Amino acid sequence: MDPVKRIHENHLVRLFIVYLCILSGFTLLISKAFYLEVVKGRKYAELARRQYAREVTLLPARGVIMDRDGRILAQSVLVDSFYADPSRINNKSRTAVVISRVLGVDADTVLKKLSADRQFVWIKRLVNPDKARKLMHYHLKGVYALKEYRRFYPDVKLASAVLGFAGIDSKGLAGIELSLDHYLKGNPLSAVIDVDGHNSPVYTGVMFDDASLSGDSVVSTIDLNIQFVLQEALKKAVEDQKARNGVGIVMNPETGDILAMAVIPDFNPNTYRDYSLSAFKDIAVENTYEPGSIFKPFIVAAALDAGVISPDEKIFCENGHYKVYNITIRDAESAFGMLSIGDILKYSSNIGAAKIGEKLGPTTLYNYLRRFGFGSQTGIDLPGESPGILNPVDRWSGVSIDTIPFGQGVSATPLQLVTAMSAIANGGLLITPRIIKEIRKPDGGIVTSQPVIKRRVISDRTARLVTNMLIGVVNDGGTGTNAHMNGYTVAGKTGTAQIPDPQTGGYYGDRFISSFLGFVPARDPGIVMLIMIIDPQKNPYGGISAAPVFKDIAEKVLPYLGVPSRLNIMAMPAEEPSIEDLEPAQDRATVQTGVIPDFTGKPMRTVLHLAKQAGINDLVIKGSGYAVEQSMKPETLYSQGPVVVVFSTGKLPDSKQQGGSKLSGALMHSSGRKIKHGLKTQGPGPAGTIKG
Amino acid sequence: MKGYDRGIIIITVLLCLFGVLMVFSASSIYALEEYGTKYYFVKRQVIYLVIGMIAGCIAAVVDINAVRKHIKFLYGFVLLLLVLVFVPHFGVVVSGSHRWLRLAGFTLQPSEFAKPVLVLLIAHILDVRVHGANSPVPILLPLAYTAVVLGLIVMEPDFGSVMIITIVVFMVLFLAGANITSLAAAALSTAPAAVLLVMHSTYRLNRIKAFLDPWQHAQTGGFQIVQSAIAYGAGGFTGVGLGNSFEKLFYLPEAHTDFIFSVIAEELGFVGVAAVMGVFIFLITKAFAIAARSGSVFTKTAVYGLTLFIALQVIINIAVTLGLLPTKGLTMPFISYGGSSLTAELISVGIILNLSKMVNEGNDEVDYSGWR
Repeated sequence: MDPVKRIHENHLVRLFIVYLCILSGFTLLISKAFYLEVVKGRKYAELARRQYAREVTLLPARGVIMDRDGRILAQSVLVDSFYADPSRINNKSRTAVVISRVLGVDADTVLKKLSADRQFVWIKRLVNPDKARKLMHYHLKGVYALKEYRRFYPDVKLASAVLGFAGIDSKGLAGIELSLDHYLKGNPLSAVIDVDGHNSPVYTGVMFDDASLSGDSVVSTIDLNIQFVLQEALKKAVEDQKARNGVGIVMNPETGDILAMAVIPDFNPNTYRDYSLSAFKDIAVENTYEPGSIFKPFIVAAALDAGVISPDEKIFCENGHYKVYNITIRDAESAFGMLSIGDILKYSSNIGAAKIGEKLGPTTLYNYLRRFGFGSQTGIDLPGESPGILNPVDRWSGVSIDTIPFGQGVSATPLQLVTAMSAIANGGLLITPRIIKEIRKPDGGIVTSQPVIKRRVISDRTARLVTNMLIGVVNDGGTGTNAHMNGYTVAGKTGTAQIPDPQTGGYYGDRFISSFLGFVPARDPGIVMLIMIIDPQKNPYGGISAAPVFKDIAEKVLPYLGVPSRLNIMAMPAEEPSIEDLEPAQDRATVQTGVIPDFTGKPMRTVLHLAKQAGINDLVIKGSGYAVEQSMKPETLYSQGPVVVVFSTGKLPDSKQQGGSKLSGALMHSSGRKIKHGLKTQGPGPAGTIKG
Repeated sequence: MKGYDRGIIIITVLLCLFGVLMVFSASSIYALEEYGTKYYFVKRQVIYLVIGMIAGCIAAVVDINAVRKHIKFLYGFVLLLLVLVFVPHFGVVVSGSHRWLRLAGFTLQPSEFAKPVLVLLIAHILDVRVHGANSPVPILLPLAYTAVVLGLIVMEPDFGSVMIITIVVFMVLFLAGANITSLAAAALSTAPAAVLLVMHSTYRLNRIKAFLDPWQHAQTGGFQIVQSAIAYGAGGFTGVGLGNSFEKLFYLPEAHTDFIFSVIAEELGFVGVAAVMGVFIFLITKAFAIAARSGSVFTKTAVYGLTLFIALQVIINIAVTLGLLPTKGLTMPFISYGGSSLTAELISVGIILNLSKMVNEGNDEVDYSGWR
């Protein structure tokens, strides 16, 4: 048979067989595909989801820290962190060289990391944006970037001791960053994200953008401008004196607001890794020092308040040598005979202070010091606060009653000293120092902290008596004349404390803490300030190394706060008042009972005084500083109901402020404080209870 | 265009364009990571497509009889290329196998071109013997020519190609009307060789082990199969949407080449899978119809052979992605990324179209007196 014919006869059958084979092949495929995709689809889809999903913890944006006027002190910004998958890098040495050149890290270290038998190694975290951009430009294989938050402190070293710093995982490690970490850190969110086969998140962009997760913002009481003035002046003083440390605190005695707190040496929280751990210590609250002579005002205040001495009493100061038990107390500069109480402070007589201490007796002295806040924490929102050391009476040695009055055998934090001095400055009230003004929630809610008055320590009259004595310290012949200011009356006390030698149990002969603790203006203080120079090499005397620093700072800060200078206001009291001259000139202006006085332009103390004279027993105080508004018109008759007086540290009305410089901050927004007058409270002054 | 089978032209062009789209979808992230630009592969695929289209058009207009005159020369040329892959300066070694030649910045895979050339040679031999000499369908001679090619490809090694060439040659001989008993005997005699080859190659053994229990070997050889199954499952009935594959994000290896069909399954779902298969079945049916209509043994055998290569490659490729066969290294015709395979496939289609025109115009039967 013809082969061609035979082929053609069989052909269709064979074609059918082959075609059928192919079709059944496809049928098998489509069946299996249907099985996988439709029948078992859910199971595999679930498997897929499990494979892609990773549970991760998303760190939210850490809250911002601001100064009292909303200027940013610390904030978190998203930057790139670079990591590598060494198994995906072909040319490791080239990759290492590029990384080292762009990021400025050691090439060998990088190469070692890239040679690791792992699939994830950090190359460098929190890289500067411009460097990161440069590195990404190279498209290095196996090198990846991840967005992380980096804490950024725009003012570098400013307020470093107060701010502290937050570490690489957004955890607060010192300062406000630590004490308010709970608010600042926000709520870490556990989320499930999808990752690709290299474990990189697939949708990175969205995960950090949820603002509701971010931490609360913290508004501190710090005023950036005052902080700057304080920190710079203190730094210069420490350098000039070749001192070991410096501490400075500026506080508002009415509200307890810490306007500035500086520790020298300071540090740059942006590069906290460059410092040793001790650099982060806020020695203003964490360290205690034997205060020395700046402690004397509290002893005098206690003795006057307890009535064991009278303001015009004179005390024999033993001509410079006073033997008690086994020790001899000496007066540093000259031998004094009879000294008034004021002169004991003015010339800083140790013997005089010791004798006042003896008059008080251990228990009364101890109780007053406790009331001034010594031996217990002030309660400021900063970490590691020390309570200081004030031993109970039963652990006192025989000479404690003589040495504690001039600041030996007792130790206090710089903050405790400022807080105690505030009590003298504000008329006798111990107030809790505040470092936090507000906490702002991401949802817009605001929690405002209110000034907290702990207790009355001494009467208003005692406070004014001591204030007048402290004014004397700064006047001619006193130890603190270098703090004397033109235009403002300064009240303060110098200190030249010996540093205890732990080896001998005595004191170093050549190491001192020089300090000046005071407030200004003395009669209605805007600020209380402590300047402490620790271990100065040039001049140990507080009156020489610390007092001028106080003056320099106050000269800049007071006009900034809008506190009127006497140079610009005519009707201010004489510079050197007598002890009897307790009230400023206006205070003595006669006021008719039952007639509303004109409060405007007057300081709070004057307003209180006038109101009392006018017989107003329901006075509502709003704000602080100088009265700018009153709810009832002057010269009208008063019958009953509350009289609201609004105070402001802002510009004075009328022409009374002529040269006061501008102020941008320091407006207090405290709620109205209601002050009720009553004669049943102790002391002759307008003492009363103040509710915060 | 007159005389050419329009259906085949349209389907081929559509498949190629779809391939470019899928290559872009499957490769862009990988390309970005590996080469810094997401267009790295798709750009090349477009260039390959242009080259392939030009080559396909030439194959469609060339005088087939002139080709047949020089078919043995072409065969010799392909053998030379298959030998050159082992010559150090010309050959490129990729993960231990010599499959590639370096050529002016591009690489060339000679085995892809060996397939159509071998089919044309066998068709020519059968035509000359059966039609010209009026003798029965020879088996040994075509198998001998095939064996030389297979021998070289085995040494590369490229078992996927060896397997597909073997099956296609036997099918072609079967369709051409070869004696079934002799064919079966020849087929049986190749079996021991196949077993020996498998046993002597550990990677091949591992692939088969992984195939038998992919989940057990998920971290080694079975990984691809597991990821592919996940891609199918995730795709479901309608797919996750074009471009939305998750498997291509470094889970599924070779997503733009051997496993591109898994990406199609994931992005376009069962609907897409069925559609692509349907289009291929249509293409195969159209080509078979042309061959069935022809009275020429050469035309029949050539069209069957060229079509079967495409059909089997589609089936095996999909079967691998479905886990029905061990991984082979076979690409998806017209769709997978790759220059040599695409060009060779478009040349094959060009020849089928060339023959379809001859069949439609009734001049596919030639005077065989000169073919001895």
